[in-house]
Amino acid sequence: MDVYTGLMEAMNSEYELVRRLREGERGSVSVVLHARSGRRYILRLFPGCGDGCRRLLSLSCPHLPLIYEVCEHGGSTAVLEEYVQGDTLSYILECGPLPAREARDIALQLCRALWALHSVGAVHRDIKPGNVIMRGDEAVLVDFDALRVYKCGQDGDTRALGTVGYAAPEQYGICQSDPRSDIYSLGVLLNVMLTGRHPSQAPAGGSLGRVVQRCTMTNPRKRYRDVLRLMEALS
Amino acid sequence: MSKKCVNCGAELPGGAAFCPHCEASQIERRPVRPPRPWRKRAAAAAAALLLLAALAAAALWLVPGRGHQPAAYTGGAELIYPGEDGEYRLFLCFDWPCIEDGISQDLAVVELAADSELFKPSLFSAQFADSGEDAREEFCSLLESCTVEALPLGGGEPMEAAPPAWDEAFPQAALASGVTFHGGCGDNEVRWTLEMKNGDVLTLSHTVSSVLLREVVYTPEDAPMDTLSELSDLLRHIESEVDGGAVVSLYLPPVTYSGGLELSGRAVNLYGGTDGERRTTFTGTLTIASESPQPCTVEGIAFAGSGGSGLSATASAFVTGCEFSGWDVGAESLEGSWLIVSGCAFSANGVGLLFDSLHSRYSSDVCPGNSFTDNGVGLRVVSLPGSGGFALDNCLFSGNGTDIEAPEGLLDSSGARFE
Repeated sequence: MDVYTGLMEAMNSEYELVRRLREGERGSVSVVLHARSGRRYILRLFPGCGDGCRRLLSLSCPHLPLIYEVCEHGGSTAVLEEYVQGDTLSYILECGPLPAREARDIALQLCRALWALHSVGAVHRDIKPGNVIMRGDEAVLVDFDALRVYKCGQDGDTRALGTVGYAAPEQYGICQSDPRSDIYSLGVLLNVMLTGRHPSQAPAGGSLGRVVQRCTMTNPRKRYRDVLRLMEALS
Repeated sequence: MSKKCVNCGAELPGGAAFCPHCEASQIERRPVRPPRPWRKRAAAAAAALLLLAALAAAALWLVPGRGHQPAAYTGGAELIYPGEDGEYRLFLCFDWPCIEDGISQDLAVVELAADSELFKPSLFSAQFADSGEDAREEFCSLLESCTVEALPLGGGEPMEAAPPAWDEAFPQAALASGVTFHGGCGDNEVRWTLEMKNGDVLTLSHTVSSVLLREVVYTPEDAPMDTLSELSDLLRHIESEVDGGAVVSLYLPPVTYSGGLELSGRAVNLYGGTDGERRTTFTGTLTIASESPQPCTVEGIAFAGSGGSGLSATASAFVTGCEFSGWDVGAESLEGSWLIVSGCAFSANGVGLLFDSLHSRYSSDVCPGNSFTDNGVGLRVVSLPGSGGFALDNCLFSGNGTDIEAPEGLLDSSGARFE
């Protein structure tokens, strides 16, 4: 029996479906509950390969959900990951922008999450407030639907993914998204935390505004080269 | 192959990372943390050392007789200049994307017909050498004066270089100098001489080479081109058989082409023909999307439509003596293009002529001798590359819902007639 079949059988017999979060052509995302322990998990099912998620199996980072299992069968992939409890950043921002210090701290934590992703050659590609859960004071970057492995020298991603407004210009299929695409999106997110709006509408001022500006340069080569340099700028 | 769960002993597939029964992980995880920010400490230490060194140097300056010794620095299209506060990377280029990307260009080769004249911008900019960040403001504060000369090479004829200045058409460049020349005039070194306030003299240069375009002409006697299908076949033949260094001109018969045509790849000139009442006519959209830096020419062609666009361009073109009627948009100059329109007639269109472009290789400060009659909007300008507009000398506007829609002050309509 392969891993996928074993997992699905266990899902059917030992887990309950709590809630379907999303279902569509990109697959489904559900909250499932282990009947005996009561512990919750996120189960993702999607077409294609799970290369990106598989690289996260052996990692632990406080700002990324733990990936418990990644398995494939017949062109589909199943990912079982940690269910992170908390409010999304988008919900929190409904009450208004954040103080600069808090926005900076969240951005730094997300940089650590990105460092972990980028260190295994993965690019998140969909960084936005809805994909950040505040577990107390800890920001956790979730939703790896758009996650992709970055391959040097490869032409364009097969599909344009990400959320309009947060997606870097290169994510609209013109050239391959790379770690600097995540830096772009994080820059937009930082601006939204500071002003409540996209940098093109309400650019943040001060030193953090300059950080946003550099993150969101149209030309990826003019952005921070990697999240380490971004972290230094934020620090 | 199977294995047993490390916790509960349940049977698991060999590759399982997780036991779904007891929820125990079957693999070890490693915590991932970014490295400590040594760079900041090192940078702070380096900055402190630099400050000490600067103080020591400043102390030396107080000794009578000491001072900066003016020096000369010579580079090609790129030069590293050791300024007092750090090194600057100075560079020259010709194209605005290279300014944005910080790429220097040693040489621009322009193929041009003998009777054509062209203006090529020579662009100068400055970055901080260590970070690659924009340093135009800082460098220009050290600059006393700047001159640009065009010096013929190898028997070429002299080109004309305009005095350097900041140009709104190239906002990312510190300074720009327009180099004007005609086809086949040969090579010129475009030399920038920068005199600094401290007496240093910096020289950068790159080369413009103007070569004659070879023209290949096709007439109806040379190849069948009575139908759109034959015309498309001919264009495919030209793309594969005619060398890229030649300009291709098609002299079209006075027939009606039912449908549209796309000019992509190389630039191809289209010249319409007449025979009594008959003239070359397109009833579908002519799309100009040439990848060639050379603009194409569309001359003497009628575009008769019923909706859509008569001519749609994302590459620059000269449009002369053409007629556009019955379209939603008679002719549109979209991103990447500048349509240089003269002697054309736009009638009974939704919009006669539309400009909506932020960047183009070419521009023109005139749009002369055109007539705009009975259009919803005669001329609409959403945006133009750079900051310059154009003059509507000898243009006629009559019977339009709105004659001109354009940002205030962009166009010069003083030479136009409104009826």
